Amino acid sequence: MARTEAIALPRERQGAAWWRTNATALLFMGPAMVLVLVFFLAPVVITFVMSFTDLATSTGLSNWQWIGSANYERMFRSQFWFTILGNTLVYVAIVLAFNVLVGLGVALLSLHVEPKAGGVFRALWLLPRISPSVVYALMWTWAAASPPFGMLNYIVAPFGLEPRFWLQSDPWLIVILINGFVGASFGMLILTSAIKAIPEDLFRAARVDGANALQIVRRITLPLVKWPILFVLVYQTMSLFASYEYILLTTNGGPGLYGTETWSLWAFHTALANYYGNLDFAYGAAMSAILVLLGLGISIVLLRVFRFGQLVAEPRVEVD
Amino acid sequence: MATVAERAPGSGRWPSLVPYVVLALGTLPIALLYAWLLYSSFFLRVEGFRPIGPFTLENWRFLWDPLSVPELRNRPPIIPLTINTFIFATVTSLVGVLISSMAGYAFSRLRFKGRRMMLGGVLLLHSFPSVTLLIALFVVLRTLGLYDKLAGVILVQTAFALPFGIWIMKGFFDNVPWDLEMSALVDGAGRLRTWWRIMLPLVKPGLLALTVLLFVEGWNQFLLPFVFMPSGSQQTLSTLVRGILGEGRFVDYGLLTAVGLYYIAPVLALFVFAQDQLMRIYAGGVKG
Amino acid sequence: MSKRTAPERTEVGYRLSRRRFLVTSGALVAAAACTTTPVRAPSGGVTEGTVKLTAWTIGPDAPSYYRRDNLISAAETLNKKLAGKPTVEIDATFESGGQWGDYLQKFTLAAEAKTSPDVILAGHENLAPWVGPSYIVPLDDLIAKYQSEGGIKDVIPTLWSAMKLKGKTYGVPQDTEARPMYYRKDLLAKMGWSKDKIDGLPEAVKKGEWAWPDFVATAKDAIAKGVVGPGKGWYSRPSKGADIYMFYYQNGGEMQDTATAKLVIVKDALLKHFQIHADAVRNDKIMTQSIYGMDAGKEWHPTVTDGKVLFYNAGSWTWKDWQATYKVPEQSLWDNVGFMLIPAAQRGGKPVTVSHPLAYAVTSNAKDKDLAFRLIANATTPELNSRHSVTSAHLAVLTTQKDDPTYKQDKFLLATQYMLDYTKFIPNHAKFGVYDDVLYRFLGAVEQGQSTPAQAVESAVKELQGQLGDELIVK
Repeated sequence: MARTEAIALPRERQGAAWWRTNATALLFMGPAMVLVLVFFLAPVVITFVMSFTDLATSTGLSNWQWIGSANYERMFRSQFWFTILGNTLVYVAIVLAFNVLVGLGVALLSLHVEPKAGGVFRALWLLPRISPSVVYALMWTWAAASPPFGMLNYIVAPFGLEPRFWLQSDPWLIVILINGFVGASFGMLILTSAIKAIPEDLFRAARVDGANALQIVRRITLPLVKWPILFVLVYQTMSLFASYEYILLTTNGGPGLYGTETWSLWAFHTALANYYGNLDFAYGAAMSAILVLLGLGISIVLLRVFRFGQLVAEPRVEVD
Repeated sequence: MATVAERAPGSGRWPSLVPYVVLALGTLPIALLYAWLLYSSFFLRVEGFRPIGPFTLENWRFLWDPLSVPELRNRPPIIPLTINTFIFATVTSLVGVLISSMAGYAFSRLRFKGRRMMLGGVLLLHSFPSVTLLIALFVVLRTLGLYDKLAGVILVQTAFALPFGIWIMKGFFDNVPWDLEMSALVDGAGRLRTWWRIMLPLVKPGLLALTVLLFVEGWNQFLLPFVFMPSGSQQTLSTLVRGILGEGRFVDYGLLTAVGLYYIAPVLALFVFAQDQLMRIYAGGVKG
Repeated sequence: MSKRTAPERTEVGYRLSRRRFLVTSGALVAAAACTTTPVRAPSGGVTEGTVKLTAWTIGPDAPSYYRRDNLISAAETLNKKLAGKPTVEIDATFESGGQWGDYLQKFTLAAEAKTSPDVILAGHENLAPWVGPSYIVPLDDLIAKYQSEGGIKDVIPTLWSAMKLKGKTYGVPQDTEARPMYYRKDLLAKMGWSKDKIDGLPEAVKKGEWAWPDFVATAKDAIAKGVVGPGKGWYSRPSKGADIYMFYYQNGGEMQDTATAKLVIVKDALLKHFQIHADAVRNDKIMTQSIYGMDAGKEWHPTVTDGKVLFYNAGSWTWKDWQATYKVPEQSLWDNVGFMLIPAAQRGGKPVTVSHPLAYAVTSNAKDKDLAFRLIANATTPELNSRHSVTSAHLAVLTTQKDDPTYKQDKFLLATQYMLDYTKFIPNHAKFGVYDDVLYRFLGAVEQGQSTPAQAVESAVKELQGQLGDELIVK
């Protein structure tokens, strides 16, 4: 996979206008650029602009007004923004740890056992990720239900734990589990292929030297998959900040006072889901804006730290 | 194929069982959840794993006698919904793969102004809070006249799939040795032709894997149809399942699991057949 | 040199012709584009003397399907009156088993996109947010103009007040109900109550002779005697809804200022409301902690219909719902279940309940608002409304219904009719959703023990002020 330096081909034109030299790029990138412009960049701008208005169901799309920073003030006047921020940080941190550690664990273990068996385990771990979220959430809702229905109650009974309505008594546990089982599969896949790519000789040499499995993992495997691990970390951090679908479908941010509400869910609830029908678009947009800034900030830090530049080497064929 | 360690000759039986046990315990929750889904659709009521009543196909009657199911009586019939979901998934995956492979090729092979920045942007976009976009997208779709239309949701879904798709396709293109391409270019073939006739066939595994993955994502998509396509006739299966859950009405959990199983079945089938492709998809996108 | 074929990868066992790929995807995109024409044609387009009217209605309880069917019957009546000038075609839907939130959101977004139906059924309080952006139109002129159409002139006067915002009327009452406190007669008998005492309970509550402290004592007694399991003395509503406010009203609460139409919060009443729930769950232990967010279909209803709970509050329509959806025989209900108002806070006080009238509204998207209104008016007749009332156990909206033969036969409706004299409504205000959200969350907090009622009141009022600003009056 090593790259050679760029090679100039005979057709390269010198000094022509940007759209000529980049015409090919434009052709290939065109459709993607249009879609991204319309469905990513435009909405981002609109969101920021909207957050300074009072656009809501009660104003409709024609009766709104500029209200400056009132939405932001209102947000920070709420007694809950801090809790929700805390929830978000805790959620991201714990689920991230679960994802990376379990993903790594499953990758290592499944490669340690018989290949066929390993394949079966990995396949099972991939199931949550490829299932429709509503169905997956349904399964967990049932498992976490109160007696006599909930499966969890039957499982913990032998350990002496009282049966309970898990979604209400231990919502965080359920939220972490449901997101973790989906998220871990991502790391598992990446790390599996990364580990598989390690040359066999390294392992043989180590075994000849008398190293046991644990030492091999620590000394050889882990250092060699440093990059994929870091990639998974960065990628999943960013994803987790933005995710809320499973929480929406199970605890819905409850119980009580924003027990499991994360920032993105808060924005969703405000702007798109009100029981009595008044959707507060602009207020939700303000919340989203904060989320974007938060996510961007963290992403940039992470990407800097893990030297993103190495992932973006120049292409090898330079022409037009 | 490298493994972490081979079983050393002469090592005792029980140490080699440990990884199996650990894996089995860890994977048990998943197995139980899906087993419940399967199980519960064939009984009228299930408590934990204990079925109440006999094995029955009652829950599945929505397939052949939908009018007898009260929860479904006032909803669009399930076959058109299935077709809707299928169209949605197929179109988004095909269009998504096409556009991703074009842009992925550009990132991999072309040098152009702003490439680095755009590549970084692609990665950032993928983690963009979708909730932010949902709110504003309503305005955009409304302006374009695409709100509450299948085409609108297809475009949004395709756009959302792009960051990931581009990144993956770029990875696959990166892995193709450039000799063939080089000789074609030297011989005077244009970029487009080269891409179409030479590069694409060479990344076919990537194309297929991405198609499958995008299809699955489209099939499973809940939030977008939920927010942007609320009209009854254009719903997808995911909104149907959530709709049945109801607001404290009597919920026929047998029916719900049957419908859920019906919904998840194609994905499971696809998974069984295209497992390798799906697993491989992630291999192309990361620099080792 | 152009390569006709590239080196074949045979991993996938078949070779997809690139041409076929393009054609297929093109065809599918075209198919998708074709399926994007909305099913409902734009309303009111006059085609050779035909006017098409669309309407959305919802239960979510299944027995309420006459909300739709009455409109269909109304169209027939209207057509006879119009005699073809023009002909009305009706396309009405009924959402059964769905969620209010989703239904309302669907309408809001459709109204913005100008694809909304001509007639929309909604709760009276849902109309308020739609007034600002003019999704629905004021009906006062139409009401005056069509006084003799259908049963418009016979609508029970107090119901109109629930349809008004700032003096203008936005809905025609479709039905109403009451939210009684149900009790198990068989369990009271097991506790040693005499038949007379059991049968006289609703009357005692109505007169204020039997009040909340008696309620709590009885529930505690039942648990102590083992007649019901722990936490099953009282089951309140497990989810958001108007009923929650019965206990706020019970203690002198107010929610809307009639003069300014602003929202009101009475701290003392709120405190008592929180206290009642906190006591029930945490101190007296008559209600289980898992009540908040309990799954209604899976747990709440089966448990109460199994006769395991002594007191439980639900809607009057739930009486029918239990029969239709949970298959409880009607006679079994009459034998074992009684119903009464929510007992007064103290002896000598006034009992309460809450009603949540639904309304038909005419949307601004309606091309022919007169016809849309007339459709509604013709659906508001004693015959049509009574068949809805009787089928779904909702109460009458017309004064003339008590003489309607169908209505008269329904023992239950007649027995609960008096409750309308003690009922309250939730306010019509665009920001009521925010108000309700805050209060409901804090209710959960006091029930879960996350905060004491006193703390909750302080925090809740502070939060309400922060969120509602000067739309809120604090008393």
